Amino acid sequence: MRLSELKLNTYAIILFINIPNLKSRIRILEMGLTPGTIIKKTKKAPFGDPIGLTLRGYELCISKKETSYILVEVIK
Amino acid sequence: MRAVLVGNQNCGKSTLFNILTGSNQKIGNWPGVTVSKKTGIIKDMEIELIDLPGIYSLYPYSLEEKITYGFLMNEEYDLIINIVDSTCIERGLFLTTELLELGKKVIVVLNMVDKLKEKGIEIKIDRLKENLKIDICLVSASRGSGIIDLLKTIKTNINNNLRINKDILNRFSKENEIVLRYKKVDNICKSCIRHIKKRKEVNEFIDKIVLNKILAIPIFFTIMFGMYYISIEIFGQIFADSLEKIIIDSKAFIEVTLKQINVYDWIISLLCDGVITGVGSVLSFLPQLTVVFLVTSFLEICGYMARVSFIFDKLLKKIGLSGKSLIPFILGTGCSASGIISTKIVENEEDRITSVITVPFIPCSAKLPIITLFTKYFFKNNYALIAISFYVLSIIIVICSAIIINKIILKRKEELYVFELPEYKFPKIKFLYKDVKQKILEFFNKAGTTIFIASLVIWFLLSFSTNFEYGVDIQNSILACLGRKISWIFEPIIGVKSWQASVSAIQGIIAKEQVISSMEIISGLSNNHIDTYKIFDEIGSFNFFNKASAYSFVAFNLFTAPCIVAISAMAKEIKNLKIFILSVVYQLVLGWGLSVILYNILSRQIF
Repeated sequence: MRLSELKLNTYAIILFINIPNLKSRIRILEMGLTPGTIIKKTKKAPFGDPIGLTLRGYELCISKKETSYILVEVIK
Repeated sequence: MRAVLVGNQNCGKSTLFNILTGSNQKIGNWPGVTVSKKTGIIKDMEIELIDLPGIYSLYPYSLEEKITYGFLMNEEYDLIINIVDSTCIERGLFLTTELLELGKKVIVVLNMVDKLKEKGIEIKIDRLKENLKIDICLVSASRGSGIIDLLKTIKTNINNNLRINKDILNRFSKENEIVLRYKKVDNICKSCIRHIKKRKEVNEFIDKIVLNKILAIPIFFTIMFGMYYISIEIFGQIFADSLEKIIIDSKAFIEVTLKQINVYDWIISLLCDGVITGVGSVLSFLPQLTVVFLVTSFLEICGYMARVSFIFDKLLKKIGLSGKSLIPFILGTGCSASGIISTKIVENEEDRITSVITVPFIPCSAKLPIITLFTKYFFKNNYALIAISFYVLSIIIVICSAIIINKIILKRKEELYVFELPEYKFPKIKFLYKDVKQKILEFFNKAGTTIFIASLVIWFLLSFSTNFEYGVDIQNSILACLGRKISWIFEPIIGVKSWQASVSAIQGIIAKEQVISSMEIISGLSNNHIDTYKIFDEIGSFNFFNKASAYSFVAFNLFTAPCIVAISAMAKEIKNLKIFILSVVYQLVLGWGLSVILYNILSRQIF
């Protein structure tokens, strides 16, 4: 499923980064959102955008638009 | 010999920089841009240390990152001191491995080691050293521990014989390389780092409240209101009252003492109306600026500012501002200078500069009397509506300016929105105190001199006639003469040539409150603000004003360049002379152009 569809407070593993813009894609990867990384969706801003994720020991905020291009699989 | 400090944002780089350099620091700006450049000399060593803007990788994305990247690739230096947040090492090592491939000497400083125990993280340093093949220091910058060891390591590692390996640069921007690099980092971490217990959830708890759908915005405005109230109403008022008393007393003292020994009148006036008033106007900003520095520093260090970004970014990014820009705008309704100074909290340079230039368009409290005076006299019962129209206009101007600056001047395209949300932490009082003290001294050093000199100049222009005779009526002063010469500038705004209006507007450069004082003095009224409306009557000095010119004149004073304190604050925040001049010119032209247009439209209407 897309990361944007993931429910709050669920863990997932990243499958694929499908962002069309190359620079953005590289940036997302460099921040640690690589395929195989375990993430947890932790927060959503009051207006719904951006969202917060924990991964690799820190918390990252990313816009909802980008998360619609990231494919993940829910894990327990 | 020269060393550079490289690391992610939020890893304690500035704290470490301060510890290593002590008071031997210099803050300038990187050439051609508005980003501040911090350089210093490491204590007891002859090594220059440069604090480079935070980066996440050697693929520069933002303006600040391009500066770091450009420096690392093209400048001379002998050691890279890579700071890594030890509690977030899985991401930090990504940059470390890239830095290791550059070819220059690197040492790693694991910061915040005091937090490792409470987070249940155990790092096997020896194994990490084996894996990375470089020296690693364990440090807690906030506690000041591990520094002696670090200094020794710097001394033994600094090497000026190594060159950059420029061939490897393209590898940093290949996607599969990045994924492989992270796999490598993951393997290193697996063998060197152990998580003993689960991470504490205090942060999550605070965020649940602070970022709650319903509570987030009310909490924000409560904090803002609190800061505003404490700084301007409480501290500002107490200080202003005592300051006023000191000023009146010292003026009286000087007048009496010097008159007794027959000192020239103009010297007495120079000391009282020039020097003391000048110093007084500088000092009057001290309390509110101190509180602004204190509270914004506190909120930034504790991590709340990042949450403000998180809440408001979506809304404000549409016009090219950051969510954090909201705070300077709110503070700007009290005092533009406070608002401009608080733009320090906006880390994105382009957002920050846009905020600095647009904050003065929000009417500050000093401009309010101007609005009240004109609207009450000319619009009688509808004055509230007209007054509000100025605020609505200011918001439109801010939005349009932000869009112009971003789309046309900076040509910013849509940027990726991604940032790190730091953990909450309680700032150390000692550090806060030092930080605020430094900022205050910095500001008053530069701005204070400018404001003081400007007050003296205006005093001179007002007190002397063109024949350098002292004690003349205002209409014979040099300033009035100047006013006559430039009254053609204001003619398209108010419909007539008036030195009185010109002089009053010019005095607004010192402080916007002075516009009204000037109008009162010119009309021969006392300073009690009671009969001020009379200046517009048929026999008053400003009888040429009508509804259209009144509205346009107010618009000019509101939307042109701000008072000299705010302009000094702008200069300090923008740092780059060319951009600063362009910004002030932009404000002057906008204020003038808009009021000319308004006058032309309004004088043809029912007005």
